[in-house]
Amino acid sequence: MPNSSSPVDELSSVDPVDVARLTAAWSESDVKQEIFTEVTGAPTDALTTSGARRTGRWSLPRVAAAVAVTAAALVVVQGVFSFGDPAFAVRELQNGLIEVKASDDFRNGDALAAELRAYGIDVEMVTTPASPSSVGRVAVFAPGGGEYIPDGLTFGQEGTADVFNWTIDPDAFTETLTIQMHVAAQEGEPYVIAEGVFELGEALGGLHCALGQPVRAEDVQPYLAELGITPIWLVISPTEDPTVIYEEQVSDTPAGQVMWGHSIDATTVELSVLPDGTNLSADHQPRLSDVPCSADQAEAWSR
Amino acid sequence: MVDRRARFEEIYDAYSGLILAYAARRTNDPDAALDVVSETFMVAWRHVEEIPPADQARPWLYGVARRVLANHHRGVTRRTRLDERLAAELNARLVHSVESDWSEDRELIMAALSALSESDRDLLMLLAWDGLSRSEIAEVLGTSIANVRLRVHRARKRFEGELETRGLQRSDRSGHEEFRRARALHEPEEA
Repeated sequence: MPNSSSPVDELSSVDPVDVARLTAAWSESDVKQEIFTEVTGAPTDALTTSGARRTGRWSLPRVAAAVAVTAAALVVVQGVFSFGDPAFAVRELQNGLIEVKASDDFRNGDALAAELRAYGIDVEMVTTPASPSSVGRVAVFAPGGGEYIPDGLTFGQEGTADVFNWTIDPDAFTETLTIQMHVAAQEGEPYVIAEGVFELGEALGGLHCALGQPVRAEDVQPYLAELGITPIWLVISPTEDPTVIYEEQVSDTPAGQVMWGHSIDATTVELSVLPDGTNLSADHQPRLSDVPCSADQAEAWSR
Repeated sequence: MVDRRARFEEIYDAYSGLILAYAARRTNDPDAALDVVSETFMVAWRHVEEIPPADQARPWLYGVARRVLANHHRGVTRRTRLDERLAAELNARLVHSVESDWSEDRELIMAALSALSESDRDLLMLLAWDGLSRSEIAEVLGTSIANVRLRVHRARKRFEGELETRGLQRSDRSGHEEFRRARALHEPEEA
């Protein structure tokens, strides 16, 4: 058995590909040049419009650029709509395209999906329990995932309410489109999507601003107790590979710097702590919040 | 146009081998792996201006390859000449040499990996085999680093559980966690 330090190392040890040998063979192979010629020989315009699958890059919304997106999300919009009465309209245009205009967050997704199915369009609506600051976001998945608009689907202006105005070509769009809505978790329900626990709106949002950084685990503990939140402490240790760290759960509050954390559910948070005297590579820097601290954030925690 | 082509050539030279390795790990067909390379760089060629600079190009390309792989339909292209050495490497990938005394463990580890969900498996393979950092994986998956950390943590726990189920149990040695085959659970003690 190889001497390894984590399950990931176990997996590394059984990598089916010898990268050095494969890339050496590839570099000397005629096929490498063949593919290069094939790709660069195609005009870029033709690539845009030809082939069974037309792909287009979907950049992240600018208005809602600060949001974190779920895996393979095409577009995420936060806070564009209120949670009022759900409303949408589906109609067939004269050119045969299906137009969807929605003015809510698709919580009434089943009804919309059912209506679209009546037009022969397969849409799956999924709700995902999310931590507080993620609630209300919508993610749209293309078939197979990825940041590409599937054939036959257009959205309105990204980052605006228009993003929920779609046209769907029922002849071209033949695959299942998945719309994922991030919703509040039920009592005791674990979050599937969770932002960092120090991000605004989360259980410890802005606490790092009040405590000052680096944030010490023992300084966070009293706040957790007061809030009735159970911590799961993970102690970080480096491995021989500077890009890989190992985290191990401990029962007592460790002495060290809180590097990052997230909520497991409404009453449980997981916090990773770098013990005093331990150093990590630049790959593993503290990440508490994407938002710079302000006086207001610090003040919110004053007792 | 010259700059565009030069930029693409630089990217192709730097990363096409890694994308081939990525595809080879996830397909059972050399031609399919080469198709993934071709389609991935077809997208890269079209979007070359959007490819981030320097090392950031790597996760961008993995993200494209991941989508290409998910949507790949076999049989589109057959390479006319798959030279012997490359064919041998691609065909031999699943019999990649391992030390004989832990080849049995290897089978168990692969079985544990297969038992995971596609999502967990994808995450751990990006980490362990493709050698991507968490921030690069976040780029590939289009999610936040915090979310990747959460998912990696959970995937590792589940993988750990699958390993233990198969008799690969963790012990503490010199301050490091390591997995050791619990032979006593499966093999009679030597007389």
